[in-house]
Amino acid sequence: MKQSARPTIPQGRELLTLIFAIGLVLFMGIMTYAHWVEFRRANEQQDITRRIVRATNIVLSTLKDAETGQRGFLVTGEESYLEPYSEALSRIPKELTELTAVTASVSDQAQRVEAIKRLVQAKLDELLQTIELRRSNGSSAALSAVMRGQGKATMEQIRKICAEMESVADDRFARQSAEMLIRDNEIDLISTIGAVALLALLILATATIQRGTHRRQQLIRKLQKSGEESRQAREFYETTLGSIGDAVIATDANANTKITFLNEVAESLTGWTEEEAVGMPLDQVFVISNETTGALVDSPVVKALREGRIVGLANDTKLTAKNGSETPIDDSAAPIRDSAGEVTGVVLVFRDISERKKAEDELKQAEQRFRTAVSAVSDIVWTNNAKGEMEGEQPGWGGFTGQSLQEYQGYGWAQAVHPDDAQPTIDEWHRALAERRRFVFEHRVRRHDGVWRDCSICALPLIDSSGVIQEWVGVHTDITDKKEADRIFKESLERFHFMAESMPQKIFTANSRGEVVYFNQQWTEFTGLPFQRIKDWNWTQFIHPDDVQENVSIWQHSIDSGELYQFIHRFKRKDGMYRWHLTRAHAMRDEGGQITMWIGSSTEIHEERETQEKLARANQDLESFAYSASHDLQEPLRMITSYSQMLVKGYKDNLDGEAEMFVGFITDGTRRMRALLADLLSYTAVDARATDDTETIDLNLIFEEVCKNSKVSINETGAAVSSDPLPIIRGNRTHFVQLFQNLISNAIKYRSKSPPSIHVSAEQQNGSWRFAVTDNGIGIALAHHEKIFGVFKRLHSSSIPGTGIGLAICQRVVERYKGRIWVESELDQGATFVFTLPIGTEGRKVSA
Amino acid sequence: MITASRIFRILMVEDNPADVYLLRQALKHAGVNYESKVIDDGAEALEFVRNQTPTENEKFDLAILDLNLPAHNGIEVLAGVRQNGAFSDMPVVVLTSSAAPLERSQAEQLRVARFITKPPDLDDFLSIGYVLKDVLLDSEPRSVSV
Repeated sequence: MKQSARPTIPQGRELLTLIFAIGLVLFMGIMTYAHWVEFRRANEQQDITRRIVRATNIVLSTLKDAETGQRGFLVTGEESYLEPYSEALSRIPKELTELTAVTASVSDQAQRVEAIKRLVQAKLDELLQTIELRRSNGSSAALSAVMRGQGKATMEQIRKICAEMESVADDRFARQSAEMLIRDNEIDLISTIGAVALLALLILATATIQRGTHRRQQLIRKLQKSGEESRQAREFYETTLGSIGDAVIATDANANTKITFLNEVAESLTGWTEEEAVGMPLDQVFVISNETTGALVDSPVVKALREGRIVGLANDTKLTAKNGSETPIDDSAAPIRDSAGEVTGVVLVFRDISERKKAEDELKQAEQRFRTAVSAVSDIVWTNNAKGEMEGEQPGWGGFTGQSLQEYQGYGWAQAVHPDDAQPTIDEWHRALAERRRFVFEHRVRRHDGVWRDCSICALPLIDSSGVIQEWVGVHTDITDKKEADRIFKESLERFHFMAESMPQKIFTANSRGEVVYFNQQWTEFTGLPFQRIKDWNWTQFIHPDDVQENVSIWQHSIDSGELYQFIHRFKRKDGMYRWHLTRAHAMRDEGGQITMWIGSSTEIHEERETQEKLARANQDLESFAYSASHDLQEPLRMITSYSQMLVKGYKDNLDGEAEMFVGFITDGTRRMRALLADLLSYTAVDARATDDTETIDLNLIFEEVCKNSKVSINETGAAVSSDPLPIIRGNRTHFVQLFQNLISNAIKYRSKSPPSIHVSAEQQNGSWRFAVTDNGIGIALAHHEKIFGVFKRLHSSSIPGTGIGLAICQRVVERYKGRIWVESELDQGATFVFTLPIGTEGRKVSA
Repeated sequence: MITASRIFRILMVEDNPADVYLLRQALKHAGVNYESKVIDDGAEALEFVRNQTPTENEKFDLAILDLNLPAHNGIEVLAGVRQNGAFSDMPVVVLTSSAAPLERSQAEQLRVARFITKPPDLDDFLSIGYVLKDVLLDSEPRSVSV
């Protein structure tokens, strides 16, 4: 902050303006007051004048009242006329006094008032005289006295003086009014000029104040900004020091180095808070000693102060915190210099190195463990000196071969190597030594029990930083068992391939990544492509283009999940024709459950598939034929019915009994044929593709509906029909009405002598719904259990009516929903028709 | 009611003469006075309803339409009727042996007065006469029926 940067406010001009404004206001006040006094005086004068005129008029009017009373009495002689007179008489003295008082301050008028007083007395005397005269001498005497005109003259005089007074007063009033007008105008003028002057001053003052305020605000902003900057800078350093991971302590440069700053990490390491620590001598807070000897160590601060340079701390230093806990630390101190280069303090940075110490210890331990482990593994670890000779104790080698140190040292180990392998091993060993490279070899070693074991060897030179070989470290691994396993695997693979080659199917194997590693010969024969061109993922080239994408994604899914792979696809034969194949592949897993390979086979199913498709087409054709046939047959049948009826109707009288009977047979035959056709229609309709099989059906409602449909026969036969709570399923409503209708109708129709008792049950069994319709009817002999489900198969003559298609419809419905239907019955034992529906076509079971 | 004595004009599109005969019996049974034109072929019927512009006297009061016709089916004929302004007001009763839901909904969209499936029973067939009579009287203009 520089003092000179603060702009001063020019106070002289503002003060001048202020003084001038105050002077102006004072001047205006004095002027206005003076004028106001004048004005009030004039106003008072005017008031007196007005009161004189009024008092004069009152006196005059009262006199007139007295005169009026006198006249009335003189003429009539009646006392009552004197009332105004006597009243006026009583008022006169008070009014005269008032007049006197009012005029007191006006000298010329006072003289006139004295004259008036005298004249009023004279007038009153005259009036009294005439009244007395009337009383005593009658009216004529009194009147004549009046006639003499003395009273009238007196009155005239009074009036004249009064008029004079009024005229004088009027003049004065006019004069005073004019004077007041002048004063008034003067006040106006002074106010106007003053106001204009004040306004001008005000504007000037506002402008000045505005400028002043603006400057002041600028100043304040500048002050704030510079304050903010320095605060930010301080905060920045404090935050930085506070947030760094190392502990920081700053001290001054005095002899006992007092602490000036302590960051959070330092707080937690020393156990001192910044509040406590600041101002304390450093060696009380920062207590360090040698980790091993425990002797106190001088803090590097002293050295840094003395030498004026950055000082690091010796290793193995520990810090003792306030609470006595010890932490290994690593620290350094640096002097703080001001701009003049003078040392003003020291900053001490240190960190907790217990983690690092721990890691170092662990490394040491690991090395130890490694050395222990080496001696424990089944692999034989040995070391040779830089020259490649076995030297010193080799417990691994000795233990495996049974050789003693004397036997194996130098090149003695070669005695334990199979004679056929010994020389080649030594030759290769020499080459590796000469080329300073890795030695890799396999040979047979005689184990301590005399058995030859296959071993693989790997040895490496240990080279120090100067590039000199220190020693060789080698490992012998007994691979005899592995070799045996490999041989067995190879054999079994060969056997598998041999078997695969001899099979008519196309066989392949793939690795766990899904790459085909083996195709048997049938593939190359079929596709005309060599193995090399179709291996890995190249088999996709002979898959039909329409199948490839799905094929790859399904194969990939199996590879990822390990699930059975199964797909029907077309392969391109070498003649270019595509043939349908069914391919399946299983994953083979090792003991750990990891997939080791896939084994798959493809079977040509082209013929079967074509036959199947043909069959499906034929079935479809047959169904549509049956549908349209039964539909179209209705027409001519209707003709026969209608016209045979017409014949009976029109020729009733002309037909003999025999003819009528024939017509009866015709109509009966047509009726039965109609029923047959209707059933056949509904039978073929069950398989119609267009019907919606996904409606939600409450079978309880279906059951109710069927009972309602069969109401007549139920009532006629006295049947008891009941049901368990039935589930809600998905399907086509009509189908299930047909199913239940046929089964329940049959149960009523094929009843025994006792009234029918029918029950529908439903239960879940092995992932299916199992429904049963049980009756107590005539039952069905075992021999017929299959037959009854055939189209137009009937067991009974026309004594029990029926078309023989109801159960065929039932079977068709159940099979459409992937279920099964059968009958459990014996003759005369009642029957139970059972059908199943796989769960998945059903919803939830409705509780009772 | 003077309607009883009025002679209605009825167009029958029906290829089966046996049904035409039954239809006549049914109308007779219901006591309908009528004169009729019978067309027994889909193509001919379509030609007729497309191109004919009958005068006031030649107008038909009712058409009875079979759906299973040779050459063109009844739905096409019905569509032709609705397209021709001269016939557009004519009530049409479909009388067919087919009860396919598709045909029924198609016919109903083309504003048929009744959709009747030919019944096999003679008495049921004869009662159709009354149904046709109802349709005739329903479509009768008010001024005539009073």
